[in-house]
Amino acid sequence: MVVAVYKYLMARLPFSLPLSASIVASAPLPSHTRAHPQVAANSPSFHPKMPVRLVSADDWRPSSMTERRLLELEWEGLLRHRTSLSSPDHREPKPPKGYVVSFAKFHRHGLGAPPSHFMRALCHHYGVELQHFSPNAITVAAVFAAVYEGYLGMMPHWDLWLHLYRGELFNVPTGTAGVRKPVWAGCLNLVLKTGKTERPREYIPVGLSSNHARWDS
Amino acid sequence: MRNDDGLLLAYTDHLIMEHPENWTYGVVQVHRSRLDPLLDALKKLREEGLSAALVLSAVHHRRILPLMSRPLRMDEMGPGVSSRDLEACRMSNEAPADDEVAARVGAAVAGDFQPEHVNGFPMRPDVGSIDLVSSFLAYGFDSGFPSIPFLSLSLLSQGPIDVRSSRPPVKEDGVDRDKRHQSAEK
Repeated sequence: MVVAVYKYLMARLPFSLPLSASIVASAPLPSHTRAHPQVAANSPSFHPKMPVRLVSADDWRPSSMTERRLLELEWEGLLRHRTSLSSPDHREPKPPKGYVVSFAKFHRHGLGAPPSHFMRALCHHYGVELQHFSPNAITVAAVFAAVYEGYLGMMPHWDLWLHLYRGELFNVPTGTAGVRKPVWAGCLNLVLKTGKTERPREYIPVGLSSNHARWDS
Repeated sequence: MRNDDGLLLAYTDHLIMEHPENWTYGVVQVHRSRLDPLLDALKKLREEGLSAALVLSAVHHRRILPLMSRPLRMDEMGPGVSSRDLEACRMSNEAPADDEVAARVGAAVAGDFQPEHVNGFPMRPDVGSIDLVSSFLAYGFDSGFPSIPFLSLSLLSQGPIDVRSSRPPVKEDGVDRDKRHQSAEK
């Protein structure tokens, strides 16, 4: 009986039970944006096949960003002059006051300083800091904003964003079944809702690159 | 990256270990019909062949960063606007070469994107951009509203959408709301 109850509960828990949880503040939302029960029930992230245990995260990868690389980004038209600082070889980020942690990939995929209203809204809604976005999350957000501004002639429509996309927590396997590691950077993936009740194929084709090796250095 | 005015959440050594409930929030069923005009427009763009790769190629071709604050929306970057505003939108003086744009697109999306496809689906208001306004006029509207943007025309066909309700909420909205509440309580 106890096992049956446990299995029942695990099948309905939205995520694994962490060893030590670091709670993310939930942003207040308009009353018309709430989880749709059917969406939640059919979301892949709500159907873990087995409980997952999280262990300690690996250390940060030392930054390889140099002044020269920053200049290259500026020269390529991917970064405004003097909007970023480099901190090569730092074991972990320690941005000075007034700065946040970003990655070259983010700027190659459409992020700029100062961030757009839509980008700020994504941070606010998901309750995340900039480094929490994955490179692909930046890409899908950039494409969404460009579709609206460049083809529909309007600012990104927030309700439609919530209708089409959901956030997924990324963590890495350890090699042991059911045991994964959280990540310091890139834990938020933004993925198209494709469940049966989530009205799939309502958006333009977005096939994302899977080649982002060592993007977080 | 510089965080002017604290617009982004400040960096902490914060590790997210739980999947917050609101990451999967959507729009409640009763309000979904309000999205239909927008979904129809997306369908039209999809049928015309728009893909993420083409969107990104148009963005790089135009020398803009979609997630950067700009004085002009992308569709406003046409003739008649101030050159100062245009310069503030563009990240460089010259457009990158097509093979460079293709390389940038190839690094972001899957598939083999060729230089000859760069800007193959131009954005508004460039020559060759798709005219969704005309396609909606074909549904029976007269052409008396040439200056009304596409959204307004599409809404006429399927009922109004409160666009303001869909402005992405940011941190300052909550601060402003708290100030208003405090002011009202005094």
